[in-house]
Amino acid sequence: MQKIWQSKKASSFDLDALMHGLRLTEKKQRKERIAIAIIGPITFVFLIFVLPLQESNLVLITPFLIGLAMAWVAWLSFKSKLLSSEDSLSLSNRQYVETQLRKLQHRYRIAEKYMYFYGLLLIIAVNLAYFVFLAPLPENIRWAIHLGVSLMIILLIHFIIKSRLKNYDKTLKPLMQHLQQLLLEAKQA
Amino acid sequence: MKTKRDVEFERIFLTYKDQIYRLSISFAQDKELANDLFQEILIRIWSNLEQFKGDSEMGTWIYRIAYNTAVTFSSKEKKRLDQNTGIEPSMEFREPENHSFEIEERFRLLYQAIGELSDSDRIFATLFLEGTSYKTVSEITGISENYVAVKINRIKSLLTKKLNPSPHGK
Repeated sequence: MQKIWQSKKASSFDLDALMHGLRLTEKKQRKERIAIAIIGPITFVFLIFVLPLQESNLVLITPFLIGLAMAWVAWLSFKSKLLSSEDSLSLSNRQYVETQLRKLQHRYRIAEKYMYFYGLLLIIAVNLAYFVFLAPLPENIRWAIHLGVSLMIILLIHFIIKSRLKNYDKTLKPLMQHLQQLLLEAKQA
Repeated sequence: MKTKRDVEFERIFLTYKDQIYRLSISFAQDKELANDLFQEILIRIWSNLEQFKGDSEMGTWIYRIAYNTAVTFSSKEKKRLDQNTGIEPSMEFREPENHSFEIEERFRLLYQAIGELSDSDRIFATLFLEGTSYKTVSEITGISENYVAVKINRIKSLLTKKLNPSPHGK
């Protein structure tokens, strides 16, 4: 049986083309990582630069809150990668399945819970800035704009979360069920 | 000029390509997907090569990456692979010319039998078929050596029955 199985060979594989492609991909990924790393600070500096800080120090809280929210979500999204790295691939199959399952559940949690909190921080930050900008306007107009902007952010965040969860249900859920099944079989061992 | 990593990767490829390919065909439903999985495993090995610390045998490390990639491989990965690597999906795996029809037919039956197993059993089956020791199988799967022995014996007799069906079930 082993002889029959091992008679199957892989051949005619262009390894050089693969390695060339991999090197290009690595270069591209490096550039993307650099871009992601600098976009956050650039946004922060840009906000500080364009906001009329001379009008009120309250406006200063806005870029800090937005920066904090962005950094928090970035940390939530990348912490598993930063902490466990791709090393998990070389774990035993059982440990790997457990790790992957935890990572997938974490992604679900980010979409289900943490994103709403991110939206709340965004609403506070934007409303603080508007509070200063809209000061010359009549009170009822100010209220209407505050409510309108807040509602818009809530709807936008809600729509993003729902569409992400719908996507996860299609892609992540079957994979999670598959991993749970594997884990169950391993635990029965 | 080739780097140390390039040379090491080439060495790994030459040593393990057949095992990785056979593993790929046992986990994928068709040849195209098997080729994608084969390529994906090579990519993961390449990406992780610098992290190999020598804590385990190179073979064990390769198998762990290969099986861990295989159990989470899906058509979604295939799409990502096509988009990200820019590698032409035209790599072919030709059968050696001296591959006889009889062996090919026996292989097909074996392949079919393995395809009917669960993913978990398929890991044990293919490792057994590669002649991997129980100790190494235990290191790859994270299951105790005793259970590996029980599991492999069970799968071995199951595959034997499927390959040699007899009226008395022997």
